[in-house]
Amino acid sequence: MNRTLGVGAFIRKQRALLILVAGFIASSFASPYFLTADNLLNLVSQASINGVIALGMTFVVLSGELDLSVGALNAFSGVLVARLIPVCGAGASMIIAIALGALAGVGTGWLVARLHLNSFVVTLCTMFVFNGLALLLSDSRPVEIDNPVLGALGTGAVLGVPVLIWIFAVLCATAWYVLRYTWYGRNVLAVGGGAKVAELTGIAVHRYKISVFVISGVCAALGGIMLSGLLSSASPTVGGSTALSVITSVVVGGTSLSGGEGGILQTVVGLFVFAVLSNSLSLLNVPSFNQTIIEGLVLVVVVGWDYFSRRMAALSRLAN
Amino acid sequence: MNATVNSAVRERMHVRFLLSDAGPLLALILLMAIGSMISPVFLSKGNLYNILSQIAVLGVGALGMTYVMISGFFDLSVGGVLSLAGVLVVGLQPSFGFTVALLAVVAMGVGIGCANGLLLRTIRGDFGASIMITFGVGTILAAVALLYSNGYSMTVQYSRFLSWLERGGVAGIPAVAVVLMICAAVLHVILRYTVLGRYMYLAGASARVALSSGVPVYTIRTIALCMSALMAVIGGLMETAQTASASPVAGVGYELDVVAAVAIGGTSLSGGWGSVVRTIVGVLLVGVLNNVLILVGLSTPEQMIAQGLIILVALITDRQRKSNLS
Repeated sequence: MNRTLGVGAFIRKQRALLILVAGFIASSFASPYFLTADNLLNLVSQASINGVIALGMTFVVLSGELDLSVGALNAFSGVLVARLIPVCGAGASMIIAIALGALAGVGTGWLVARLHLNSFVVTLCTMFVFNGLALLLSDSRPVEIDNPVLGALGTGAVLGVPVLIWIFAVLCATAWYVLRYTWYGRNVLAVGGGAKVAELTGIAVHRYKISVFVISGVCAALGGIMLSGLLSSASPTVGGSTALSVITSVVVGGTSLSGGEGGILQTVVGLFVFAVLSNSLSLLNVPSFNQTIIEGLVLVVVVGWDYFSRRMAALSRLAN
Repeated sequence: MNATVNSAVRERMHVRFLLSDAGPLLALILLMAIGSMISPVFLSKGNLYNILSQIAVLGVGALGMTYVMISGFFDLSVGGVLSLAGVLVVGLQPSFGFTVALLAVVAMGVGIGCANGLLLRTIRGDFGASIMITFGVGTILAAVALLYSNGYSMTVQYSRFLSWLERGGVAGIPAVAVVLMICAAVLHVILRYTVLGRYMYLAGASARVALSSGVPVYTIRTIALCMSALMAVIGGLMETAQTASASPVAGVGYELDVVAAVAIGGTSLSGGWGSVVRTIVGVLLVGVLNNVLILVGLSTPEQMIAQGLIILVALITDRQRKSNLS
């Protein structure tokens, strides 16, 4: 068997990264503004909000589940913080929002792990609940926020780099380390690879399933706080498409929806594929409807390519 | 002696199994009883008419989704199909006439279903792939609908079929509900009494076993995806008729509502298990629940919260009763 990793094998392994690099190069040729520091910082800080949510989603997907409630939780925690700030200040309200995110994760995780309900349906229901709560809390209107702490979080910068990017970077590094180098990360992957086998090897599967939903809930709540800081207002309807686009980033990077395969680096690559795409399309003044069409096509092509090449690999294994 | 005990046990097991299986139906009956106690309006002719006409759009989509879910796939493109069907039929009518426009959107539905199916067949997609691919296709279709209508709602011109869908009816039953019933009957017969129907269950229960026993799994799933797109087109026509306009965002969130209704009815998300009757019960449950919540006087956000919680409770009790049995 030929064991050398040729260029072709590399391309097959790092599809999303290749698309990202190609998109990056094409964008810098297409628009002179693309490679400026301002634009790149802007691009990354905009991506960092969905990025934080995507980090949490990566844990959920790796463990073989899905979380559709992140968009609603994102909107809910933004509105909650906006409402609580006049009452108990920025710090306490952020802590409350994040704690509620964690609590929601415990509830979802318990239903999925203990009652063996399907996570897609459970989080679909909690999505309705949190959307309703967000609308209720905000009277179905965007709530303005005027708070220096939240403002600094959303629009401030440290060492010339926006705070949003710092948060994302630190969380990325942490999540990457946890998944790669700790027993916790290994066990999450084991649970996603096969819950039954994991159970038989002595892993308390239900605890891991609950924990990934807690991580996802906390990340979604944090994303909501970051978003309302960036916009200095909180909209109850902001998370409508968040869940599916976050899942898209995770999957396009190469994390398998059936669990047990993938990681944080893949998610970051998948995230930036779409961030670079939408940034450069906006710079080129492509109308937003056409942008959506192109993004949909990229999703279909990347996921399709991924599966197709796996099928080809399986066929060539058979032939050998 | 032993045999009689056994048969008595079996009898009891059978009754308990039936009861556990009828969870959603019992919930529906309970809900209707609660509704008629809470409000004298609930059982009135007008209100029942309203419920029937309100569930139709959801219902047809759920019928199609039932096929897809039984065959082991998932279809998140139905929202996009619904929006696009609405704006296309309204947009094409002035230049080509209603009949041609109707045929065009029906063909579009079948085409989209085939495209989904063939795409997934080419890449040998699994359940996860069907979620992502149909989501991508749905995103594209929703954007095409917005592009075609420039983001605005389009006003419907008169056509006999659409005004029949809006106002007509048979024996006091609204026309949209009649269409829903016809679709349900046809899909039920196909699923229950034909080889195609049995193959749907086989493909969903275990793709590998089905493939090795000669069932053309991907062809079956492609047919299911065609059904679902076609049903979404019918849903789009109903929605357009009922609102007398075609909105390019009519289908936003439709796919998730549809999945919720099918899942409440008891059709499994992992394939191979479910039926049209279950789905109809699920759709009725959602429709009656919405209606009762409105009659109680809840605001829209409160309805959303209550709906989510009640569905969750229904799923939990259903699951617990089933695990008590086994």
